Amino acid sequence: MKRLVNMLASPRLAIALIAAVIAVSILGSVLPQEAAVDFVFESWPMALLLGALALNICVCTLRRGMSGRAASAGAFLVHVSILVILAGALIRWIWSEEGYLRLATGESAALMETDNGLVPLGFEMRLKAFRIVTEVGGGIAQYESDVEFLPAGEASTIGVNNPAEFGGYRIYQFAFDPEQAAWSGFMIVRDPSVPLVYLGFALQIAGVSLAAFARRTPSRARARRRKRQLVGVS
Amino acid sequence: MYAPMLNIALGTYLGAAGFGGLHLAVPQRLFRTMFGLTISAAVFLTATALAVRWVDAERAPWSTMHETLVLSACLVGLVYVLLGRGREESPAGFLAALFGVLLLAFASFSDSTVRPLVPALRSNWLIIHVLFCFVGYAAFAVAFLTSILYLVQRRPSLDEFSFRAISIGFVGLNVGILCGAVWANQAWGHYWSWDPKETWALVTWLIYGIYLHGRRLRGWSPKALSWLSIVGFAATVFTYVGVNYLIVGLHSYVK
Repeated sequence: MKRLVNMLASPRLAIALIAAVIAVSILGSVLPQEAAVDFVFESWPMALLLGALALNICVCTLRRGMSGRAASAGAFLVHVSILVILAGALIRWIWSEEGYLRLATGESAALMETDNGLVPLGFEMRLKAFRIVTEVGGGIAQYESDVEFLPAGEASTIGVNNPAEFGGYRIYQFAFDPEQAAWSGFMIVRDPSVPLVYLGFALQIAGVSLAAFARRTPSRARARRRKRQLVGVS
Repeated sequence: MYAPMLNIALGTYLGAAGFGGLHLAVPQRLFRTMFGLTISAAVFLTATALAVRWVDAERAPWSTMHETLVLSACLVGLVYVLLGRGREESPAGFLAALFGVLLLAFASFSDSTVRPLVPALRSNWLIIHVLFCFVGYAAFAVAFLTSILYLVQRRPSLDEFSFRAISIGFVGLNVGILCGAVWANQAWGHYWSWDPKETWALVTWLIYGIYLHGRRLRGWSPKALSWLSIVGFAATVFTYVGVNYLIVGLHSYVK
């Protein structure tokens, strides 16, 4: 048991696991993206690899603990943040939903198309108008859809970089009729992992910053100076 | 206004490389001081050119290949000036200035037309996502230079310099990736979709993660760490340009 814990807590294993994630990622990046996501990034071997990494991080972090130094607190936070983000990835893998909805102007629908067939949204969405916003000089500034959610009657304008939120879903401008602007396509996402993952992001930024920029404790700085004097470097 | 400013910046970087080279040949204090002044001026002038471009284009000046090359030149110089201040690192300074010259020369050969951004790129996230990623790339570039020099000269201070640059780059790339993830969630509905550019940014970050673990926990030799820094920079370059030309993905509008 103790030997197993020792093995799991070894930096050597950590480095080997990171190297394995690198190798798998490179393999996935050269495959066509759809295939890569299905067969590499969201495959069971990848899940096992990330699970092993999470376990390794847990054991290392618990064992090493937090010493009083700011830099070490930073490293601790970074490792915790990776666990939080991986937990978020697991939640997303299991519970996120995603679908597509295409509406002609004036049309409404209450079902979205998913990989598992049609799924009821719990509300009805109607497309009032779609437009391409251009600017002086001919550039396209925005693709925009005016929509209405029924029966509540709440109106919203959805654009690129500007999704709407309704009934627990986020609704994205995704496609449009390039010829007559007579229809608009929406991607509809419910991803319960977002708050947790964003918490992980915040922890990670705090952690890396602390680890990189915190002042080294005086004793260590002094030790370094002494060492430099011995080596003879100014 | 922008094009002449860029040429002046290029000339100043060239001047910095000249004084750096001169200081290598004749190690006099005057040349070192002149090097420090010219490279600082080059950073300032490149930043000013970017500011002019910002006003001209009415958007952050880092969304085309040309613009990001100029940004890289500015940040490579800046990282070197901030880390190299007051240190006897003239070979590294000479190389950093030369690298700035190279980046600005590439920039001047690449298409500098101001084009309107596609709607997906019209977001304030563009400003910080790209900026932080390039702080990372630039710091890794400086570490690459000092790592090569370490392999030639074997001075411990160069190894220490690489480590400090990589620490900065690691934070920059990390913040850049995470800002990109938040933006992707807002624009595409996924904070992570294994787009090739995302994947390669992660690969790069993880390579430097191994560097930091190897250094802090395993006590790897400066020689091994220098080689790893070189490998990391190869991944950085691939993330920056290689992915755009070799693999098609969501970021392929960068072409």
